[in-house]
Amino acid sequence: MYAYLLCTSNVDGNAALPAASATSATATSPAMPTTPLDLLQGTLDLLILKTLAWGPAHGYAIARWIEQLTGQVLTVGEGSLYPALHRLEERGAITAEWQLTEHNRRAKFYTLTSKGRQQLRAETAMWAQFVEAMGKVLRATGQPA
Amino acid sequence: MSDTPRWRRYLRFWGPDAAADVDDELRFHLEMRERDLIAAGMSPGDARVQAEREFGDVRGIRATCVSIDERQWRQNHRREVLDDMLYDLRHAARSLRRSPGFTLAAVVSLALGIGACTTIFSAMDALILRALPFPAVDRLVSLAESTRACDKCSTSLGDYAALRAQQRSAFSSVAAYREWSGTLDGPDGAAMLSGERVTPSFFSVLGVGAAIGRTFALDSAAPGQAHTVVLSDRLWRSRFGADPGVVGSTIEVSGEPYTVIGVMPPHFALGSPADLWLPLTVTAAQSGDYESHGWGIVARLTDAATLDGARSEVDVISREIVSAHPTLDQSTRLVLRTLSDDMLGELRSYFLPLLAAAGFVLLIVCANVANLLLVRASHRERELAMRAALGGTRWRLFSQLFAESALVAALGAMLGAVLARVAIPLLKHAIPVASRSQVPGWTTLALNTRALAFTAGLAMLCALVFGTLPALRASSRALTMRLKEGGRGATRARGGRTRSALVVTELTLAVVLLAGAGLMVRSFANLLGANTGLHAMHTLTVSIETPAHRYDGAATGAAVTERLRAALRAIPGVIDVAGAWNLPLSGTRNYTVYNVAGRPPLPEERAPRATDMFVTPGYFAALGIPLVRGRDFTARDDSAALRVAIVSQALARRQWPNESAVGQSIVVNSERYEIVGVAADVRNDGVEDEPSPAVYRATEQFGGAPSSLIIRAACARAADDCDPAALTAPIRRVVASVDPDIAIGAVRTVPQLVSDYLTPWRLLMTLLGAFAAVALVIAVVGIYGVMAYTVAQRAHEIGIRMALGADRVRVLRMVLRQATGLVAAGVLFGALGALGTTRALSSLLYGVSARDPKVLTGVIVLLALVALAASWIPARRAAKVDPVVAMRAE
Repeated sequence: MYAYLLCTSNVDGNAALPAASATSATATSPAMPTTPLDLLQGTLDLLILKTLAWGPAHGYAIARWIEQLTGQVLTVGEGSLYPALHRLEERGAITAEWQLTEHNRRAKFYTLTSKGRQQLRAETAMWAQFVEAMGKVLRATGQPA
Repeated sequence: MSDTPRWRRYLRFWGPDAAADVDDELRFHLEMRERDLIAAGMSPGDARVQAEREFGDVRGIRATCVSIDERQWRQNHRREVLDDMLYDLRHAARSLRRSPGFTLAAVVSLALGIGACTTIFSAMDALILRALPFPAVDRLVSLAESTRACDKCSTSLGDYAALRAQQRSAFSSVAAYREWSGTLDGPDGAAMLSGERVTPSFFSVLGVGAAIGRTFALDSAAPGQAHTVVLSDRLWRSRFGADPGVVGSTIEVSGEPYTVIGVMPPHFALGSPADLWLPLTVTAAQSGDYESHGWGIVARLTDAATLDGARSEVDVISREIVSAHPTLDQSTRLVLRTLSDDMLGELRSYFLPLLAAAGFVLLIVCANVANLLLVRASHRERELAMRAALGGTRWRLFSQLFAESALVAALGAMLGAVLARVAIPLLKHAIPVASRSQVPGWTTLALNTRALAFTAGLAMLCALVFGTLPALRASSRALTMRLKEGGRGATRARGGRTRSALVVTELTLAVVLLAGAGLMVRSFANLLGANTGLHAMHTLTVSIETPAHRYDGAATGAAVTERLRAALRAIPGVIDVAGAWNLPLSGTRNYTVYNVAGRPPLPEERAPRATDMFVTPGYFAALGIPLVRGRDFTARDDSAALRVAIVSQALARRQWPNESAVGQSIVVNSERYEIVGVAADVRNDGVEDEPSPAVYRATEQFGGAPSSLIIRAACARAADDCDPAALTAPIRRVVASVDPDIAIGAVRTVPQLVSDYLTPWRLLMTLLGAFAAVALVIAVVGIYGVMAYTVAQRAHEIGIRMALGADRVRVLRMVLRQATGLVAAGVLFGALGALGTTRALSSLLYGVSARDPKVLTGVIVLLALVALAASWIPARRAAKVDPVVAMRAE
């Protein structure tokens, strides 16, 4: 389990992301224009897992789905999507297989494993806690005694 | 989630080419985006540019993904290999459990081979490789005097002083030492101690400092040095309870106070283990004394010096010594040897045959296990072919077969280590107490981690040697063979040649080992039968140590001897008590030169030599040495009386072949001795040596107490009800009552004395005999196995032959002919091998030649008979084949 850390904004092409976990140390940062809302590191994994909970999908589909579902609020840079997918695969949360798309094209489809399903459940719960806690603070009206 | 086999196949297919995989994936993404953008109305060219821009750093992302995939692939690969290995091992364990006969035969024979090797290796490690625990031991040399008659004699302090004074380039430091024995007073009476008197440089030459405290100050004039002592770790633990506070305290050594200045680290010893070290300060008189021997010299070479350079330097020095001193034996030279040659040379000569024998046993074992595996593999051809047909690669088949042999080797090594664990203490305690001091490193002899590592290494080697061949053969055959061929054919000779060669190898090595063991048995029998000249079954010998300062001088020495004799004689069952300064077969050889009085004296280097013995009256009777002429010494032959001597028959015969020696005189050290008696010859120097001429002199005429007592016990007849060893306790009591400060060593009967002396031969004979027996059994099992297998394979053919009219005798003869061929080849090669290798034993043989035809013939006949008897069983089985059954079985 890794911590949710806030991603530094205005990332330039070469600056490394603050390491969210040991395995992401090799990742290079995306050279994306600033997104409407930068993703919290680690939330991407959660989003991927959630997306795959509906069924196997390839990387492009995952990216589009996330954008559609968040109403373009969250844009997934391919620069972080693919390394995240490969890392999840390495950790055994998802598996990959080459299959044909409905347009008869060969694409790498990712499927959630039972381990990934567990991770999704656990992280969803944590995310809810996090949001609730953040909300409490931000909605607070009086200074704590 | 996809199931495992598909997953693995995917990995196999794509895993190694992670880059192509990632490229495909990313290209797909870009193309999809392009297509979407075109669908949204963009021109194809703009769409491509836009898609790539959105994507960003393609190469960076690609590199990240590729490195993740490759890492993952490596991990999976490792896991798979590990899984395969575990699977192979489990499979091997199951399949070994299914054939307990094979497993037992292979594991037990391996255990015997590995156990033998581990035992010998442990012994060699402790007794040879690490017997001299000194830094840069190859720079250490020892010096001995060599003369015409004695090539390795002790040196004098004059030699030491000359080396020190003249040391030029070769030696960085020189030390002299001498064995010392004395007593240590303690709460339970005096304990006998052995130690060394050493020059202060002794420790720095050897390069070892004290573990606690310090060693002697190099400045010999250091005040108070004379009464300081350095303790051994062993004495410090056993007598002082490992108390570091003992350093600085004063202890009573041989009745005199000494200050303990240090304790040496464990196992520090130069050769024989010592309890303590006393300092020696060489006086001016001693520096010029080239006559008093008994000293050892050890020196350290400088880094630049070579052995040859040091030798020539020493040669110059020793020439100068003899030319400056015309009275010395002019043939005397100082001889330089490396310390390890000097201390371990003899032990090494025992280890060479032992190592070779243990190695042979292991080779036989490996050949045997390889044979068993070959037979086993050919029984399983059908199974292997099936597996190959089902998609097993050659590597998988090989590794499964190899796993079996590795497992067998591991089990064999474990059991072998257990065997060695049992055998090593047996070997250790087979070295008699009296001989242990001559075996440096005896205390450290144990199954150690190095030996265990060696065992493990051997097991791996075995697995490779006997696992590779059958595994390769079987795995390649399984692939080339079609399943339907898996039946039995009439003439399936494949692999038969390998098996025969292995059996012949086993028989060959067995013959060589048996020949070696046979020679040792004969030579030991000859030694047991050798006439030592000692005819005293019921005589006890015991070494004693009297406090020298109290009994110095002829009168007091004689007095204490007389008191001891009187008190011991009063013990019921004791007939007589005698004493001596040196017991026969003690391992130390003392020589003297003499001249016959009345003949012109010869210069020292040409004067005759004789073994030098000092004894009390009653010595000859106590040891059962007949006096062939004249009389024994009596109490009247004391220091005031005329000097008398008794000579051995060999000496008398040589000097006075035609007249009686009694009444003649000899001159020793310029003193004249009248010969009063002639004693029968005794092998004083060694059971294996012809009796040398000997001069016996009376201790009473020289003073000092004897260092050994010889106690003749009363036994009317040589029956078992008379146990001289029962006298041990009364002897100790009586000696303590005469003077509690007299320490007393081990009590041994004369037969024990002889038996202890013969220990090296006995041990060699026992070990070689055991190895040869193991070799014989394994080789015979090997030929039985091959013949039984052949008969089983040829049952069909034999059935046909019998159906066509061959009778049982002919079948029997046919099988035995094959066995005879194998045995004949084994025996022939074995005999040649034995003739070539037993020469290594020749220095250890007594009364038998290394190419003794009787031994070789006996061994060949034994092996041939046993091997043919073993083949007889399968041959009979072949003759009993029922043609109907054999042919229907197809």
